[in-house]
Amino acid sequence: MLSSFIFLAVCFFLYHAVAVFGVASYSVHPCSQSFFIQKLTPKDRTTGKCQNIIIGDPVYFNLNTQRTFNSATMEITYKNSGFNKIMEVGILADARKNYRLQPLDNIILDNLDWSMIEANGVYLLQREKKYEEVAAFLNDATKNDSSMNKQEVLTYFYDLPAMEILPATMSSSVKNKKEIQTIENNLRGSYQFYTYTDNGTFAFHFSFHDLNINKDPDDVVITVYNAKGEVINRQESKDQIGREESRKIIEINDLSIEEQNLNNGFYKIEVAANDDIVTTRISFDKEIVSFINRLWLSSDDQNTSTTLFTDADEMTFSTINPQALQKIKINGDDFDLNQTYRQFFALADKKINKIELTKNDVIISGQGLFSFNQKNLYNLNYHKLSSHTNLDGINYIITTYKPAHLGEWRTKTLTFNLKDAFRYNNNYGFIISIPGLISDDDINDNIEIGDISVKLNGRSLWEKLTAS
Amino acid sequence: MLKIIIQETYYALTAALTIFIIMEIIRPNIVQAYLSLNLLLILWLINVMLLLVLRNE
Repeated sequence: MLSSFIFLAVCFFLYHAVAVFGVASYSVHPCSQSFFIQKLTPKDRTTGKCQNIIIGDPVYFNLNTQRTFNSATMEITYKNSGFNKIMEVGILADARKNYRLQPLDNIILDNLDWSMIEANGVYLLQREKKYEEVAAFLNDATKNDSSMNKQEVLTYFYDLPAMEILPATMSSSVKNKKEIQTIENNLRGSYQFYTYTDNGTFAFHFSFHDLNINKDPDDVVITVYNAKGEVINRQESKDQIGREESRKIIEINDLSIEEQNLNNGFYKIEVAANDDIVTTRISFDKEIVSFINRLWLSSDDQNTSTTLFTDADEMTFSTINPQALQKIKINGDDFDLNQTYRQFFALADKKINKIELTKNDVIISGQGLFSFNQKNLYNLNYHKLSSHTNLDGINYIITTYKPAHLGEWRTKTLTFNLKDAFRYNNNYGFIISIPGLISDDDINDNIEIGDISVKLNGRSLWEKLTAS
Repeated sequence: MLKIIIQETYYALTAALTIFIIMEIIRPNIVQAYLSLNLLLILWLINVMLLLVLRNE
C-alpha cells in the first residue's frame, strides 16, 4: 500500500511538471508562502507584517514554473492609498532587464469626466466630443497633412504612428545644414537617439573608450532603424578581451555610420554597449539629435558642467559616484542630488525644460527626449501621459487602459504573452511599477497588494508530441 | 506489530526519498515545489531511530 502512495506521488509530481493539458494555475495570499509566486523584492521597498505593502518603486516578483507556457492571465487585488496616480505591471522581456509594461491602475483617467468612446479595446477620451468613432480620430491623427495639433493629444499605452517627416514650418529651419556638430560630453553605456534627414544622407562618427571595470566582453553595436522600425545598418566593434577588470582605460575602435540614398524622414540610432563603454565624442551633420528616455553622463573630469534640454515632465536623477553629488538646476530651480545609489524624482512644468549640472557621472531618465542643444531637440512622437502630466491644452487621450470607478480594494486582470518573455532558472520575472512612489520621502503613500493568482496556458503534451 | 509497521514505513520512506532525490537531480524543484525533502529526511531519520531502538529491545 505504501508503494502505491509513492507511485501516486511520483505521478502527481510528473503530472504537474509536464502540465499534461497545457494549463496550470497558481495563487498566493499576502501572508502565505508560495513556491510558484514568490515574495515581493527588494524588502526595503515593502513593509507590513507580510511584506505586501509597497512603499517604493519598483518592486519585483518571480513566477516559477516547471515548463514554458504561452500566456499568463494574472489577477491582482490591491489597495491604493490614493496618492499614487499610475500603477503598471510588466514582464521581463530580455536579459538587459527591459520589461514590457501594461497599465493596471490610472487614477487620472479613472477620475476624468470627459466623453469616452471605445473600439476594439482602444479608448478615446475627448474633452469636448468631436469624434463619434475612434477610427475617425485615428484617421485624422495619422495623416501627415492633418489639421490636428499634436500638442493636444496624449497617448497612454497606445502607440500612434510617429511623424515620418517634419512639418513644413520646421523643415525649413533644418534644411541644408552642412556644418558638422559635435557632442563632447561623455556618455556611458547604451543610449539611443532620433535624427532627421531631409537630403537623403547622414553621417555620424563615434569615438569610445573602455573602462575595463566589469569582466564581461565590452562589444559595441550601433544599429540604425528607419521610421518603420526596420534595421537599415548595423556596425559592430568587438572587444579585444584580455584586460577586463584591470580598470585601465583604453581607446577602442571608432565607429562611423554613413548613409546615402535614404528617404527623407526620421531615423533612430541605437548604441548598445555595457557600462564599461564610454562614448567620448559624437560628430554629426544633422540638426536633430534627440536622445531617448535615458542618458548616463560620464566624465573623467566630474567637474565639467553640462546643460541639457528635455521635453520630459518627470525625471529621475541618480549617481553611484559620491563626487557627483550636487545641486542640479531645473529651469533655474535647485534640485538636491545628495545621496548615492538612490533615485531622485523631479518634476518640470515647461514644454522644454532646461537642466544644468555642475558635475557629471549622473544618470538621467524620463519619459521624453533629451538633447545638449535646444536646436537638436524635436519629438516626433505623441506625448505620453505620465503621473504628473499637465492636462491644460490637452483635448484627446487615446489609450488601451479602460477607465473605471472601482472601490478601495480593486481587482484587475492582465494578460501577458510569455512566448517572447525572458525566462531564467525556470522563472518569469515581473515588475510592479508605481512612478513617483519613493520609500523614504515624507509622503505616507503606499500600495497594498492582496491576492495574486495566475492562470497559465500553453501547449498540451499531445500538441507537443504531434508538433514534433 | 509496531515493529513491522515501522519497518514497512522505513522501506517506503527510503524508497520515496531515493526516488524523489533522483527526480530532483534530473529536474530540479519537481518535488520540492510541493513537498519539502528536508521534512521527508527528518521523518526518515526519526523512523530509522525508532527502528534501531525496537531492534535493540
